[in-house]
Amino acid sequence: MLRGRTRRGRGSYVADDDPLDAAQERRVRAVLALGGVPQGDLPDGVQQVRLRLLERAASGREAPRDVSAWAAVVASNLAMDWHRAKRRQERLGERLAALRPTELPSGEETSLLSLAVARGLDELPDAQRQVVVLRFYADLPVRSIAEQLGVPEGTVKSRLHTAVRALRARLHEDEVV
Amino acid sequence: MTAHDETRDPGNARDPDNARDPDNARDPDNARDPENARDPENARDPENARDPENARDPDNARDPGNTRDPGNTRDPENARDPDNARDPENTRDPDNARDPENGLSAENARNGESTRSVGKARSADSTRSEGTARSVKNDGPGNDAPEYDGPEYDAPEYDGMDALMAALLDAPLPAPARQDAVFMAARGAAVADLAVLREQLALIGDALAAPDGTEDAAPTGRHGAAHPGKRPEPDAGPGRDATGRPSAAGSGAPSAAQAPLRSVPGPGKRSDPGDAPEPAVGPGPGDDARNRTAGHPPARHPGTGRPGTAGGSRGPRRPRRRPLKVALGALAAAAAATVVVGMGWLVTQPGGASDASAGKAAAADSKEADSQAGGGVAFGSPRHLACARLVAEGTVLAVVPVPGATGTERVTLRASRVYKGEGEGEGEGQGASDGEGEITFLRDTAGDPPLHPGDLVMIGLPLEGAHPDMVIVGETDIAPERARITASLPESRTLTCG
Repeated sequence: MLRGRTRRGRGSYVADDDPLDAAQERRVRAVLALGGVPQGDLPDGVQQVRLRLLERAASGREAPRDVSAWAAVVASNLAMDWHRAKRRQERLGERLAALRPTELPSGEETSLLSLAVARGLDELPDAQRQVVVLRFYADLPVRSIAEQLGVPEGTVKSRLHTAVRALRARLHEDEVV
Repeated sequence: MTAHDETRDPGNARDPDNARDPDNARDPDNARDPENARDPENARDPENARDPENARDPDNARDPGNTRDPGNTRDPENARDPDNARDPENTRDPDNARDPENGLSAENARNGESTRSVGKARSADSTRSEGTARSVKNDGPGNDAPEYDGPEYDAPEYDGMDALMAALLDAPLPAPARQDAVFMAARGAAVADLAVLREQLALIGDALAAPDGTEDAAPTGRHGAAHPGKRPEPDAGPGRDATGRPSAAGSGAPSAAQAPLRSVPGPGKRSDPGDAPEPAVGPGPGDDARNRTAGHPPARHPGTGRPGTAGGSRGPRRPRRRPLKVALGALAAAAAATVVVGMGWLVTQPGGASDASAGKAAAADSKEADSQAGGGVAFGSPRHLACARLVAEGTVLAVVPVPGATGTERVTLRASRVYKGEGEGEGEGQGASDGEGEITFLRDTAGDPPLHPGDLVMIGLPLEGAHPDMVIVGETDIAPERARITASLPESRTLTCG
């Protein structure tokens, strides 16, 4: 497999190690989950991201400058594809509600807030949800997002603006903020 | 226009006689096609009648010589772009012929300075790519119509940004914006909301990314639970990123597994999720590790999912808390049941009370029990009578402590009526005889108010023993019992004790 090959001269990027370190994998999982990929499919999603990274290396292309950012974008695209492929998209609100323990010291308000945010995310169109996750979870700058997604910066800003406006409206409506 | 070596119509077959533009008025100087590859013979507009002065492109870059509108009749005052930021050299329309009277969008001045604008200002400072949310949204740079965002976001726009966009982009604000209190307040609110959103996404993402899909949102504690034999260091610190975003337990898979990991996306701060202020519940395999973790703040160690997730495998589902909950619940239920049963048992017990208050209570209880049970072994019931050696009432003659037996006294009773037992009227009758006899019995004094000579009492002596199982003192309490006993006697004679 490709994993056996070591590519030198490409910075610290080596293909015989896991292309994703633990922290990156964690972020990938979270981005997938936030994009609605069901719990059970998260490992597959992570593997797909790994695979793409390895394929990229194998094709001779340079490793992404920012592997984390690249991986986050790939994961977010995967999540959208998941949904589009009519695989079951998990509603974050439901899953989060199932996760929550019943008692939470001083966390009742936070629980409500988290649930409200999760439900708000569920209601966003995929494209808006994607940019929200990339911007506010993966912390990618607007420029990077635009670059990675191959869309104009203005489009990213527009999506962000619309999505955040909707989320804010919901949170204020639910009176959790 | 790039000249190509091959012309479109080398033989000018399309318009051999150049009827279309015989005088080459369109492009007299052939600026469009300097090499005249398109129309080598310049048949289209030989006289260049279309643009004699070549005004369209004065400088002939496209029209560097501004031949299109040499008189700048379109915008003579150059109101559209007074500072000419778009075309500093004003090569396009030097005499501003396009809008001489500046009739177009007078209020929507396109100027190079940042000013407040009703719609969207195109300014040199704001790059086209920044643009405005609305303009970009509408996919058209030319849409200048102001839009109303909604009641919450009707703060004005500066540089094409409303307050929310300003917060989103964290862009430097122009002076007028900074002086606008409403705008600044709206922007501040937006910034705060964005911080909340960021924090919540981290919490939610970490929670949902947990390798185990148990009800415990313990992303990585699961790992510890899955390997009960491995009790790792109860130190959540090492796994943390400097950024605060919980890193995977890169420091080693087991390190994350702090047994009581009820790590939940609850109150944990994003910067230090490991200190989620939860009580350390260690419902793990119940070993001594619980003690170790008892005092430690439970860690949220999301990253340790790695071992469980790498190959797509999930850790075993371990609903640790469920059995505990069930056990506690069962215990509570059992305790409650015990109490209830015990109370019921106490209620139904007829004996033990030998003083007024106790007797009253007992009478009430027995009455209740009697009415409910319809004749268990309550005092005065037929069964009780059937099993009693003696039931009598009378006046206390003497109360003498028994020497050698502390707390016991011998009571001598002069029976005024014997309902059952020795002294009962022989034969049938209604059972009550008026035989005068003395009855002696022993009574424990502990806890009961003392009896005095002259007290009116009713007692019941069981078949065995010298201690009455019922002592009722006072006419008030005796009377109802008397009635009951009287009523029960006939039936009691039909019953066999046992």
